[in-house]
Amino acid sequence: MRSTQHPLDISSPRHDEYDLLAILTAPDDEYEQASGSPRRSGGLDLGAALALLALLVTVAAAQTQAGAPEAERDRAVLVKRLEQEKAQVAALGERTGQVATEVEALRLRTVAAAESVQTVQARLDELGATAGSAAVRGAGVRVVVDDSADGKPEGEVLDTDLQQLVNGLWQAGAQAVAVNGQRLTTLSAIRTAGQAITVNYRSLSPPYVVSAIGDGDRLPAGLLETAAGQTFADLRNNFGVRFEVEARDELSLPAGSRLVLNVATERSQPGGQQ
Amino acid sequence: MIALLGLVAGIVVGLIVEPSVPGALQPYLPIAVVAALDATFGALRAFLDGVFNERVFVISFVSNVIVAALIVYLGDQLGVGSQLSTGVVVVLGIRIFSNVAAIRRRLLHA
Amino acid sequence: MPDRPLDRVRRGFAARPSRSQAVVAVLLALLGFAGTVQVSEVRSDDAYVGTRRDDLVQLLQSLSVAQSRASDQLAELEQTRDALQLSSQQRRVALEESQDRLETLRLLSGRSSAIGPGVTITIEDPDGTVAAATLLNAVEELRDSGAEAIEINDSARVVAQTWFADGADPADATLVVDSRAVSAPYVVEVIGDPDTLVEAVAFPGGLTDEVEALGGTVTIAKSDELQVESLAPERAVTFGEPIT
Repeated sequence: MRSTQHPLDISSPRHDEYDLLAILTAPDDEYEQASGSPRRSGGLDLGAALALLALLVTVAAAQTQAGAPEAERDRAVLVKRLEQEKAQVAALGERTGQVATEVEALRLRTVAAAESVQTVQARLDELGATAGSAAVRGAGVRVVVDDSADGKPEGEVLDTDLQQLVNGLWQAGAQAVAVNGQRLTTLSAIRTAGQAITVNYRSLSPPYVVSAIGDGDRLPAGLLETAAGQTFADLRNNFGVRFEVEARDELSLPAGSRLVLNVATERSQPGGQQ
Repeated sequence: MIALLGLVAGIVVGLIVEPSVPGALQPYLPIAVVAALDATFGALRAFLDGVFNERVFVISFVSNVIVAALIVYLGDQLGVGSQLSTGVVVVLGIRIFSNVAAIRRRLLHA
Repeated sequence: MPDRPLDRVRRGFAARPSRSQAVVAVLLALLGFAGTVQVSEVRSDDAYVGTRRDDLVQLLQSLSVAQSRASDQLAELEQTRDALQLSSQQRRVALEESQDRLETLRLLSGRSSAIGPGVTITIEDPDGTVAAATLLNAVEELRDSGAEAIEINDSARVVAQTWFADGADPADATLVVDSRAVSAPYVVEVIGDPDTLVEAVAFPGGLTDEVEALGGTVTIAKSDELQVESLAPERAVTFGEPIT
């Protein structure tokens, strides 16, 4: 007698008829059922079953055999392509690893290089101001010298006078000097060419404005204490040579040009490079 | 028992001949073997219960193999071959397990 | 009495072969055969044994995708590497130029020793009549003739800021260079073009004439390799700063 309970009601006593797991795990009772109705004409049934089996197997085998070579080729092709793709992916992976290493090394070099650049640049800035390769601005002193108004030869400012004046400024503590806009460097010469005084091979005409960066408070006095200062003071007093010294807060000195060495090179020695 | 000798003979022949399975058949062979195993364990349980019937064994052996292969073949055509293959193996495995459990109960309690 | 399973098993072994047993034997033989074959298939080296065609196709597709992704990634990486290499190259060139510049400035500032062709000028001043002004003028003439590094008495490096003054005692034949005393004979080593430098000293009205007029002597020696070793002190512009 079947109860009228809902099939999915798991509280029902007969729910295991619909329980998949129960159905699956229930032992097969085909043998028990078969023994209930023994049919001794088993030979015919058995033979029929075996004949059917043989027929089915033969047909299936024939079918498969017919398609086998192509299927085989298909499969072989697929497998080969699979192997090829795998090899390619592996090769790509290896190459990627190599390039990644290169990129990493390059990045490291970039960092190191940036530091080098900074170091060099810092030293360039330091040396540039004193060597004259960099323009500078600051406080100092402005000296104007000129030939005497009367045009007499004793009142003429010579290259040696200018040399002395600049020498005196250095002696008094000047840190950077320019004459009529010509920055004085280690390669700069104050000379005469014809009638004009030349500085850095450029002819200058009076008045000669010598700008010097340094301690504006001490330079004027310091200059006057040097032989140059005294010489010019005498020239002014005796021959009317114009000689004015004025402390200044805002002086601007241009950079020197042609700062090129043709034959001199650095010689390395302990403590030789600073 | 001739039956056991038959099993052993089959294994020996398989080891000696070492045939290679054609590619198209390869996915179906394990299914067929498991299906046949299920029928075999069922027969063993029946034998120990005293209700073994060789006709039932032949039919269940053959039909298990054919049905299992058919199900998986159908699945392949539909595109769910791997999944149905898994399903069939799972079910057959459960049935084998329950037959073996019945065999164990029978041997230990008798 | 209940038919015990083990009795049945023993009976089964003792029974004589019957047709039904033969059938069972055949089927079990088939099972044994198929099982062995399958086991050996699985053990074979083919990695794709038993994989269905659809699965193989899917595997191939996903591998294809993986491969194109890997290939894109590689291309990108290679681009990055090439860009990095290029900029690294450029930076190296810039750095080399900067370092060359730095060497020049170091030499000009007297912060490193110099080597090169040049002349050695020896000024003998037996009467102590050579004044600072003479030396200063000589230095200016040398600069005018391309002197690149100048050193006096192996101790005083002459740079832009170098100043010259007379010694306290005029007859002492001592001059002051950058607060440092140098005594006659004044050995001036100059790096530059030797011929031009010789001309700078020897020309009429030049250093040689001047010194000889004062009672001294001037000798010049050319050299292919002269060393200017002394260094100038480290200087800085403290009352101003560079204009960038």
